[in-house]
Amino acid sequence: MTEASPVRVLNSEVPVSMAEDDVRGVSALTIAIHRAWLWLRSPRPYLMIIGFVLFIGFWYLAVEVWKLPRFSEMPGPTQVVREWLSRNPTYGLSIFTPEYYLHIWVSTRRVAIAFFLATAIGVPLGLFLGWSERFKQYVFPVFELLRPIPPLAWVPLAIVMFRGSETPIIFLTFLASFYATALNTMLGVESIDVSYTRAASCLGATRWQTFRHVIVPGAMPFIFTGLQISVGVAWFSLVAGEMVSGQYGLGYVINTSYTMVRYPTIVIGMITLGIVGYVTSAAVRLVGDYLMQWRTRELALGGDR
Amino acid sequence: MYQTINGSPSRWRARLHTITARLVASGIAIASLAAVLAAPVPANAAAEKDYGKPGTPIDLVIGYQPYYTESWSGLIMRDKKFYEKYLPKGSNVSFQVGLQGAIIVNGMLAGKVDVGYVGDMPGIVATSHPDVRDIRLVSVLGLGYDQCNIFLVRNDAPQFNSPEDAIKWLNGKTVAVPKGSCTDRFAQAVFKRFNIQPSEYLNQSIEVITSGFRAGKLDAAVIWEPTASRIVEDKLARRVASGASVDERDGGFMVMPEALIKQRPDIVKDWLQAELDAELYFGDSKNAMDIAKMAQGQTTGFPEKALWTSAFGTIPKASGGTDTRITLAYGFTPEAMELIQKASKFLVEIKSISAEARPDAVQPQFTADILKARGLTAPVGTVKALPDSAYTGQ
Repeated sequence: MTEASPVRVLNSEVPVSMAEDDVRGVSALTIAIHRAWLWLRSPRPYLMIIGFVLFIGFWYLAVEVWKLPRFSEMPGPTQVVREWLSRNPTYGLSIFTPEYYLHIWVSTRRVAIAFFLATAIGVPLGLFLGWSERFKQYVFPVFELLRPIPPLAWVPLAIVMFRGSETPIIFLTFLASFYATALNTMLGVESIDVSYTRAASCLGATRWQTFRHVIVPGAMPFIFTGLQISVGVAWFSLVAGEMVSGQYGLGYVINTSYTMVRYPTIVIGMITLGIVGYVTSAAVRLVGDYLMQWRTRELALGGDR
Repeated sequence: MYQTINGSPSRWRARLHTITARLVASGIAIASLAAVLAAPVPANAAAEKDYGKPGTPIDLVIGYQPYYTESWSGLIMRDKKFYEKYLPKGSNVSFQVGLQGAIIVNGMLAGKVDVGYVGDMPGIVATSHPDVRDIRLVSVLGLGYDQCNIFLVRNDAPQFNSPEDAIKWLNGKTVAVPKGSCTDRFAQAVFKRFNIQPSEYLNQSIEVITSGFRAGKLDAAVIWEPTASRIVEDKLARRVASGASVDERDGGFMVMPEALIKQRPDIVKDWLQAELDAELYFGDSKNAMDIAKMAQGQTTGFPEKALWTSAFGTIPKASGGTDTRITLAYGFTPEAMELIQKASKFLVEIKSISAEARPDAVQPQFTADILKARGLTAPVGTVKALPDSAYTGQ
């Protein structure tokens, strides 16, 4: 299989053919800049800002002005922002305290380890589940039996099975992430039209070549969708794990703030979690977009999947 | 595919104008939000609950801790129903179990719990959020030295010459406590005094601590009764020190919202009358086995012997044991006030609360009036350590 040599625009009108390796690097940067420019020119960033303003405005009105039932006991945005931006926070945590970044780092590191483990194990498992019917018959029933068990239910066993206090937390984070990755990968393989594998076979490809050149690329869109879901569920599993046992981390911050009745700090922890989770999901999305440029080009050229 | 990204100058000016307009609109939105957020914070205390008129029946939700021995007057109250003698006919009382005082305090701040039986740290923290709900301390459930303030170490830890040596051994070790509890306050105070730095200071609930000892993952934990006795009875860890070893008291308090106190002082008096009955019952060692049975009926996973030991057992002095397990203060004795002030100051230092306990956070008048009317003085009794032979259960 060969790709048509891609071209890029040097200036306004003249197309230039370039070597594939050279174009790949330049194209990625050009595409990224161009996309950023298109995004800025579109209404999207401004609507996003207005959306946040409306959300925070409602929060403020519901809690601090109208004092709606059940809302009035919550911390309002003024209280949260003051604590968050305070150089001497009442409850000891703000953007000016080093512990804040330590908690973010510890949680991010745990998610990263769990996510990469889930990817390293979940993707191959999902590929084989989709590729081999016999393998699926052995493994999938057990997989489906274990999948609905929530991470919190694994806590007692995790404490007993794993050494130290860090490994059980990473295991709990890994669990939900792993299922999302494996399942989406399997579905990605199953979504590939069987005529492609038949065509590859007719053209003399071995099973391994078919797997490598048809199945894996064909499943990539689903894999990356699964990875985006996976990183999100890794975050909320992490918080559950850190709530049970921990010394640092955003889940620890939220849980400890609850037991110590530090309501603004709970919200600070939640918002920070949201921001960091958003950034990690965006990072996964960017990597996926980069690795699947070939698909975007093929679609743009009017190619099929 | 070819795409020109260059356009004519007038198209560029139009695009720039659109972008500028959007930036300006967004800037105005953000500036408005910032102005609103910079405004003074309005007081947003929760709307007061309506408890009805004095003398009328009332529905009360009691948050109590059968898993905290020092507050077992609540457990006795649930079983013996002393409150039925005093509350207006037609009143309903429901009990909610809290595994930790902080859970009860959060329930009270949310307006879902009316009377709380809590430890010293959650009790003081409860009074520090008048902006959410004004909660006051109305009675002292008990004071002790080895009810909340108990150090446990793994069984294969060295044999220590003294409790102080045991505490110093915790330097560089993995220690677990339930954060926000009386043990958290005690542990942090002792670590600061002795300049101890654990390698890990883990926030774990009582069941996770139990699993942790079972799995050999913890070097030590600071925990309260009856979990401490259960862990020791199960031979998962051993006691090495307590508050008695370092002269650090622990306490349990009853808390109520100011709205209940203001609207229904009759109910406050009724409940505290019943509480006095419960504490007198607790202080009578003839009731020890009955109380252990009550505790077993209201807890899960605790052997009766461990429950009995937590309140009435004799603990070796070398491990921090005391002859008087609990002093049933009921009223705000000087020792209770000293604990409140000392703990409150410490909690401000570690940024658990923003200010020390207000003077009006303590409402001593109800218990003082009841004691006077009944010809009693605080403390109203003690729970004494009994010999093992006094345990006549299974």
